[in-house]
Amino acid sequence: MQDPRIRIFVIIVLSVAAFISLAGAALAFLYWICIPGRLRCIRRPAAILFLSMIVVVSGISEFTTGNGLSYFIRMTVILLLALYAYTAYVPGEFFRVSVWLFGRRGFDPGLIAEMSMEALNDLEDDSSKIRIALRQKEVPLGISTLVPVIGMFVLNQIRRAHDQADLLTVRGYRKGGTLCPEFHPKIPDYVSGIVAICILFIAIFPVRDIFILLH
Amino acid sequence: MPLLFEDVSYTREQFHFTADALFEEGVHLVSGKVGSGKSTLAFIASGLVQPGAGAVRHTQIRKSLLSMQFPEYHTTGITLNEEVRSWGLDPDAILSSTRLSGRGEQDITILSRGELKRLHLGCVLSCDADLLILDEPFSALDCREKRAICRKIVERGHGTVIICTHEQTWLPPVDYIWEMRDGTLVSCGRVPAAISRWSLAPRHIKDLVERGLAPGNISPEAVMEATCRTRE
Repeated sequence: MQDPRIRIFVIIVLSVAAFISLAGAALAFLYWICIPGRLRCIRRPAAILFLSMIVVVSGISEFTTGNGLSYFIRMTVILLLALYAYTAYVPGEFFRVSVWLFGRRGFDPGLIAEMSMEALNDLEDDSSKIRIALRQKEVPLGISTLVPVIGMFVLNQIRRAHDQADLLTVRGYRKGGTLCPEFHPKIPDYVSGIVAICILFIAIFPVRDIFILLH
Repeated sequence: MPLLFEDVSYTREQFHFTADALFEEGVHLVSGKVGSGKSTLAFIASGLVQPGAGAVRHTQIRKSLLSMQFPEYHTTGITLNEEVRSWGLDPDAILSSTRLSGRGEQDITILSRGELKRLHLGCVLSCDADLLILDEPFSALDCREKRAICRKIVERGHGTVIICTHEQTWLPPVDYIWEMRDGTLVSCGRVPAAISRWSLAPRHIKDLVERGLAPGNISPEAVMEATCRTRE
């Protein structure tokens, strides 16, 4: 999907569909299966971390309310969609979409979104480098190493934020700005958007209800 | 303790890396422009990144160690003492050699990047590794520290050391010179013959070569000797 506006729209719509019902989750999963390069997005350490969090919450939910399995399926599909959105992201996209959506007022939120995505990328990069360091020292990741490692994550982010603030100041940034975003949607983009809307529609109104209405 | 790259290739998005080389025992300098693939070479050489094709063979190398450019990535201790111990080394000896004596119980996060780099390189160069890969070891260091690091590299005197850097002045005497040219590793050969084939050589070394005063090595001392040399 080339057009980031449609991609973000599709992700939001499919996430809502997956959250609303199991049918929506199943269809959203089928949609995800059809995405090229989908396996690339689940080969991330963050995927395992988030999946284990979902497993824990689902387990608790199953014991307390009995809805654990449904929650697990729906949240896993949402996680897959989020990982796809993160992998497909190209730097500058949120900036362009935000300005397209909100005009001049979208400049600052777009900038914040871009900086946040950059910080996420940096965190992923930092974590892979620190894992390498631990491997080299033959030190297992435990409580004693977790504190300095997390401390380094935080410190690196603060350093980068400081550098970024300096850069923006040097360039004369106070607030707002101008950007002329351009998008070149292709036919598959529109098709993806329409399919996503159909999935949401089915999630909201189960197929059974549609036939009853027609009858 | 040779390190062999057999038709190695690695691709990441638009970047393509290739290498077919033999790193013999000694000190190797890998120079190249920013983004040319020096760090990729370092990661593949250390075995931490698997190549897409080909093979990297570590012959008789018991232990290899990669020093990444940013020392923060290596930090796993809260205090300086803990950090040095995490490398399996004696804190007193390392802190003394890195001019950080008496600060062993200090929080490591209060060190400046230069101090942290000094401590990190002090640890790395004291480790008993057969293959040592230093990615940009001179960044964040002043001239005095760069000189000290060069001296420590010379003092090691064993194993294979690969230095990936674009430092132009403070370089240790090396045995081999390599270049990364747009993702491809190219050998310039053994020093001193390699110096005249080194296309990315610093300006002052190139000038000497052009004037027929090629230095015997690339260290500041060797370059100074060539500069002051009188023709017979």
